[in-house]
Amino acid sequence: MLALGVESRSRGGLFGPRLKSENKAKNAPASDQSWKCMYKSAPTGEVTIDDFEIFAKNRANLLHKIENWRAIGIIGEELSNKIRFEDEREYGGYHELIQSNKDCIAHNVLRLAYSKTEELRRFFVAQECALFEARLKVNPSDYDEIIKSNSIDVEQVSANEKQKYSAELSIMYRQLQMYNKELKIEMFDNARVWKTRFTNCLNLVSKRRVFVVDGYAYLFKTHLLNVISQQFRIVLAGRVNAALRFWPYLKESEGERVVPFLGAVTNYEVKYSEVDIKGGTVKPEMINTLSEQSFPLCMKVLHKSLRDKHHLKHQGRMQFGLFLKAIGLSLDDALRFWKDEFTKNQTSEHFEKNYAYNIRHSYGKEGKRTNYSAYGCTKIITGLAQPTSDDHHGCPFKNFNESSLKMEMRSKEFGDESIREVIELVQRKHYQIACRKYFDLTHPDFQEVSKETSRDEGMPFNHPNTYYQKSRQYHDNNKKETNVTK
Amino acid sequence: MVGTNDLRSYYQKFLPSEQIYSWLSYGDPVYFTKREFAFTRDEFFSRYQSFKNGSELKERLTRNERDIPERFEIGCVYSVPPSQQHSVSPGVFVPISKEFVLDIDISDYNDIRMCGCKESNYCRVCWKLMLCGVEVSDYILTSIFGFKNRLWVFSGGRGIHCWVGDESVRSLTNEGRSAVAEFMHLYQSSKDNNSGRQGKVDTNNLSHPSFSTDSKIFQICQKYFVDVFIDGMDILRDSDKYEKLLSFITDSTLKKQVHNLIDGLDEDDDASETWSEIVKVLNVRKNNTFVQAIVLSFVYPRLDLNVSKGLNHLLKSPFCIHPRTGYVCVPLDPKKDVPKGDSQGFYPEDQCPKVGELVNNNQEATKMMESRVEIFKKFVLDLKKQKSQEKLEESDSMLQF
Repeated sequence: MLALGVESRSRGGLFGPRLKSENKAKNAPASDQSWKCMYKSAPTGEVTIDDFEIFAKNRANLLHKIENWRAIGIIGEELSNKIRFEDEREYGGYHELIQSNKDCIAHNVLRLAYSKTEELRRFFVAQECALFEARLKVNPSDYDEIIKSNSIDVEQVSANEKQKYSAELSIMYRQLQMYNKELKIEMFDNARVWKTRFTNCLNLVSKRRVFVVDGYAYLFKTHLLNVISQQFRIVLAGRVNAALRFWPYLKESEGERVVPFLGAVTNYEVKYSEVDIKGGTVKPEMINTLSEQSFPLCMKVLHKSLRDKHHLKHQGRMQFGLFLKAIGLSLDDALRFWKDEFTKNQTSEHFEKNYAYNIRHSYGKEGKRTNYSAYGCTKIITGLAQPTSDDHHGCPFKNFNESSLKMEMRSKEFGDESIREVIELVQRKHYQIACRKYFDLTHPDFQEVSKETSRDEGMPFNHPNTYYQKSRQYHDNNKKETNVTK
Repeated sequence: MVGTNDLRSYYQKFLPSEQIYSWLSYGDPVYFTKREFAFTRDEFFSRYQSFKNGSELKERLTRNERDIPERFEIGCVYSVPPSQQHSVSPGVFVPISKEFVLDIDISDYNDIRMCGCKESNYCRVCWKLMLCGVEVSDYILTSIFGFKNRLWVFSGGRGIHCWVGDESVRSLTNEGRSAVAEFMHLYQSSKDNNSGRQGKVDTNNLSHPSFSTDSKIFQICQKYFVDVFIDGMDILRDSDKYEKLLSFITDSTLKKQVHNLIDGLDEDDDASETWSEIVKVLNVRKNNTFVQAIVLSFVYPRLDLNVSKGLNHLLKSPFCIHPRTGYVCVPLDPKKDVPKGDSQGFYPEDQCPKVGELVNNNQEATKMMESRVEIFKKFVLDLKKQKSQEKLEESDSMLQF
């Protein structure tokens, strides 16, 4: 068991001492720990290590999904609906969520885990805000309560004040109605109006969605969502920064159990979870064809460089070797494959002495006998050393310069429009989506041919072996189709 | 080019360095020490300088005759005095606060300056676009955003700057600055040009009541539109010029009607009356934005957004000398220096002293300088009043509890 926040000033508990004893009537609606109170106080009580890890991993998984949806341009209602679907699956419906200790624990654990670097903090705040907003949209009648419990500086204006600006406000209201269906039933005369300092709703101000007088923005009900979520963003950004200062203390008290997990959870990636391909299904002789048809670009690059130079440096050998292992190249075949290439430049003694051990090691046959799994995209993109000019590991969408990437795509005869699209994704640092786009361009009508039941909307695969497997599925089906028509 | 000797005597005798200190310390001497200054001489640009007070600043400007800065700029206030940034660990030296600033340049109006002026040139007619910039922006800053302490300054070259010094404004985040700037920016933004200075307002932006045809902003703009374009440049009497106006009317029937009105304009007719008729014709069609699009595209302020958005953007200090023109960057009074009644408003040639005139004891220039320093003093005094009033209100509200 793991103690979470504790009541006393004594040390101990994952989220540290709480200086003030909070009211924590069991199952009271919207306790200070709940999302509605912006996770004002840390969770208390105890949690099993297993739950602790599962809660955090699932939350990280959800945040990554949100990031991916946003990256492929899903916004507004569509994004909220997708988030809510996953949210409910994890935390239950509206009422369960408010009382959910799970939500609170997961948020707090990740807040700590993601506090470590600027990049992680930005990721965490952005996705948590999207989640928060999706939840806010469920029940607008909560807004008053949320504003009150989080002491947000918004006040409802008097009838007189509304009357004073009625000409301007009714224009704003009419515009709002055009975008917002629910409002159509309510007349302007009945609509409540709030006001707040313009700095509390910067999004609305910069898009000129509100009427502003003397530094105050005038708001209708739906605008309160923006005010609340801006507040959440600021509060959260502050808390993530504060969480960073908690690490030294944590290392001291939880160094063995929790700290390694927190480090790992931010590297959390979708493991290549498909059914293991049996070793021996892929033979060295097949690799050329498979590379041409089904390897993701990063593996193609490594394969080509191996064939050209008959050598690969360590990181490249790991990235490519483990990939080959996962597509079904047996240990004996792997040894034969690597030896064939390497011995074009060196003696087989040299190979046996310097490289064979490594290969056996990566198949779990030497040393501590860990059966290493293939690298996922996160590791390939951010987890490996920055490649120098004679390295070929890493993600080509990240590491290639624009002209090499264009050249590569021209050689595949992509249209100018498609090339531009991929380059734009790369410029926006969406390497995985660029890779997925590359996949779609090299696998025309992928969804139809592969008989994928649910459309995946161009979501990135997150793992080179998923890329490979989807491609094989595609080519196998393509073959069958052709056979039938013959 | 301005000579080093002239610059040096100007800094010594005329630069109101104590007033500048009084302004930038906002009642807190430590605050002043954390302010970045940057100096330029012969293409040499030295950033991250900071000073204890006004006399130290003056000393830097005058002490070494081989290193008299041609101009100096003001940056933001950092967590640590910029001159000591290397003595603290990285990450500690961060921008904290700055005035909200505006920068409007006449060269951004090239596409509609049919008086023939280009780039940094201007004449009495097109210069009024700058005064329109002052009047409209000042209205937005005060009436819409509720800001109080504004210092408007002629940049000495081709435009004007504004510094907003309210305490709450200085602490605005980059997001806050962007929001104000974006709210003010009505023009279409092109992808390549982030500062987005293009010759047409985006008609999607015109439905906001603060910019409607009933709005104060539109009224100010229409006044300048008639003054500058209809009367000043006489655009209705020249087909090359009114073509630009017609290009905003995308409805061919209306366009034809307007064309007919323009064709009917005689030598001794009053062109502004024809404009009123054009407005009437265009307003017959409900919910169109043609009149707004024309008037605002011609005169609405074209802000350099990047200058306003960034906390750590540098801007030339008031009372600098403009190296090309020799003009002193003098403050403007946003109420008295805009056209009103018979007054045509501030025009550099008439109302702005040049460094050469000042150091040669030209009486007229000295008088001009004095009256400009007065505007500055009033701004600094208002800041102080504002501060003590806020303190008073604060203590009042404390007493209530």
